[in-house]
Amino acid sequence: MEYSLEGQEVSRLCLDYAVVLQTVDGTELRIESPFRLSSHDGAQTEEVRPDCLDQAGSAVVGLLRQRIESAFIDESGALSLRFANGLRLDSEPDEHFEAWTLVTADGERMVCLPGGGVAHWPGGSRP
Amino acid sequence: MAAQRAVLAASPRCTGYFGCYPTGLFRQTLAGHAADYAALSVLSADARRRQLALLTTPNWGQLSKAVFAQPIAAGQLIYGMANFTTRQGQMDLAVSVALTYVDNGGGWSGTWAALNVYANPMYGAVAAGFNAHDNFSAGNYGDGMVNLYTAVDITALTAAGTRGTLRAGPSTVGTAANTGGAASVAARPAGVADSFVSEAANTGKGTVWRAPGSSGNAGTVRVMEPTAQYPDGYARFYNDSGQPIGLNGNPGPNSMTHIPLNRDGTYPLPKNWGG
Repeated sequence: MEYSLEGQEVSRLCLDYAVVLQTVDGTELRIESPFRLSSHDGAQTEEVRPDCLDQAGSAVVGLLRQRIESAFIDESGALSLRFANGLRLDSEPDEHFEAWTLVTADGERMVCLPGGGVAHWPGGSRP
Repeated sequence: MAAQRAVLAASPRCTGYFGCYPTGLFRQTLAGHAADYAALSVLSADARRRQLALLTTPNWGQLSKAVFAQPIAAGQLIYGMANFTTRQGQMDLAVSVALTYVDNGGGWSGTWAALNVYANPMYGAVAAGFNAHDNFSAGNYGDGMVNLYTAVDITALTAAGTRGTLRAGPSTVGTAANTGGAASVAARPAGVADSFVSEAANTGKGTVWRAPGSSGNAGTVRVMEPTAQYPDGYARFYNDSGQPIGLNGNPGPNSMTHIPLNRDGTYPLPKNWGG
């Protein structure tokens, strides 16, 4: 499904044992499992291990202040983001762990489940 | 009551597609499940009623663990059956059952046979919400829960309340039903502050416990249902910065921050976790 991250800018990057992208509207995407960063033509691809960034760290920094042009999440939990600078981020489900979690400012929450699939909390009203 | 009757009478009727579950077999099956659950319950009928009053989220996994201290998988079986039969129809039966309910003035009559008729998923499909708020407010939690759960849940729960065999369970961490007796039972898992609210995934895969009004991960507990990798489910705890933490209380790699649940639904808490 298309996800409403389009047009949002990555306003903050956080690095711990995950790569965390925060957008200007308060959405937080936390990627905990290895993912790919590719150039717009696919000629260059970095495999990023969030728990061990090493040289891939510089490629991750390239996401900062980039506008998200498209965001897609399929039923298996595969997530794909395209950025204005041509970078593409692809995260596949992890066999053993949650590959990523996404939380919006109004409480909508999505989790890529271990082994695949997505759990979804619609958010909205916040009692 | 007149308004309720009008709504029920106007409810759509069974189209018959997919085939309807034979009524007798359906009731018999439900009765079997309910009796099984009743025998497994570790709580008194009063304790179960208090549990029901405290639960705020239509999440079978949470309900199952809180009331029966049973693994989620067993609950999912009966829940799935309820959903299946409800979706597939028998609306005529639903309407007739609901009308009977209304004609009787609402509320469970208290006998097993009546419960089995009234508290079936067909009734829930049509009449969920009727009287629920009033009954809940009045302390008739069995009726009130119709508004929050599929009626098959009510079948099992109420049957357990009226026929259940009480049995002492071991005291363990993490499961609300096993915190040492009826009076101390709380309908929330271990590590969750009293003020927290719960939010179930609409896909039925887990429950988030969070501070009222909050929206991010910070300070939350998320209890997830079983997966192939975690046959009993798993829990995730987030610190005040929104980082998942492990049992040592610190952020860590995902191998340390996915905390498997025990077979009985309990789980250890991270070091210094406030809850």
